[in-house]
Amino acid sequence: MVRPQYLAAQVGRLINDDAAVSIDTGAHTIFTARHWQIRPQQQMAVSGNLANMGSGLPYAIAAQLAFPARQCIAMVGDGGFTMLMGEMVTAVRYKLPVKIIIFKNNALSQDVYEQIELGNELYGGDLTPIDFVKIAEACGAEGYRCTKKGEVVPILKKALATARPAVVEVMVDPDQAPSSPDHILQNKF
Amino acid sequence: MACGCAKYTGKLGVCIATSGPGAVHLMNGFYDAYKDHVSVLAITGAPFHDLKGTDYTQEIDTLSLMQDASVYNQEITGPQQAKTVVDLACRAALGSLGSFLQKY
Repeated sequence: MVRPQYLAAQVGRLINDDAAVSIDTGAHTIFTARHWQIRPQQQMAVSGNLANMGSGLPYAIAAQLAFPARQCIAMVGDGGFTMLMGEMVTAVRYKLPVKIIIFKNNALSQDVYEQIELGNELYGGDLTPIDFVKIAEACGAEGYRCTKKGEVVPILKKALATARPAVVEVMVDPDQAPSSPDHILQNKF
Repeated sequence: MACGCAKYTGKLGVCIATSGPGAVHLMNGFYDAYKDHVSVLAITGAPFHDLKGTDYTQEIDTLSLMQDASVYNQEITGPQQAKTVVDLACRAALGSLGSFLQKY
């Protein structure tokens, strides 16, 4: 499994200087915010105040329509991506080469960590695993999978180089807490 | 998508949907735009006027649904009104919320 912090940092290093990065809502929002070193010509969009899940992919499609020549990335969790994953067909239909990076932990991880922090009984946080590579291919996009740290960079490079829409499913460690700055060392929310 | 487009470009995002369920599907993106102060114009359908208030297929109270998330919210019933209302809607959307993202 890959640490989500490492994934966010590597995506940040490999993307273009003028990439548009759309971030969905979930634990990966926090990892991306903390470990992607944004460059001056790059742009970012996130559902800030409403914090709705599912917006990462449509944001990336919108960015690619607005900036046809730029690299448009979406950083999404498996939970959020699932909510609007039918939109992959929109990207394929309009030949929009968006790159979707899925932080996959088969969980609504941020909610799980919130429940732990509150001392609640864990409820409803587990997801039925979905094969996103097959989903991508079924929609006519390219699908890639990473399960080990060593695969992250070569597969990201491959996916970023293609002229077609692509989904990269990365198995991330669910035991990494999306910590606030004062809790990073304790690995808790 | 309209909300994402508005966030990236700083321009007016526009989306369309049919009445009833179409309008309901717009709500998440519409609220997202409202709460992050970006400009989006949403155009939805409505039942044929002879069928209004008859619990017709896909009839919902779209005006009430949109009220909390909009700065301008109006039903259009004729072509002449449409011209004015669309103009006012665009001005309200662009004027009162401002741009979320500064262009480089």
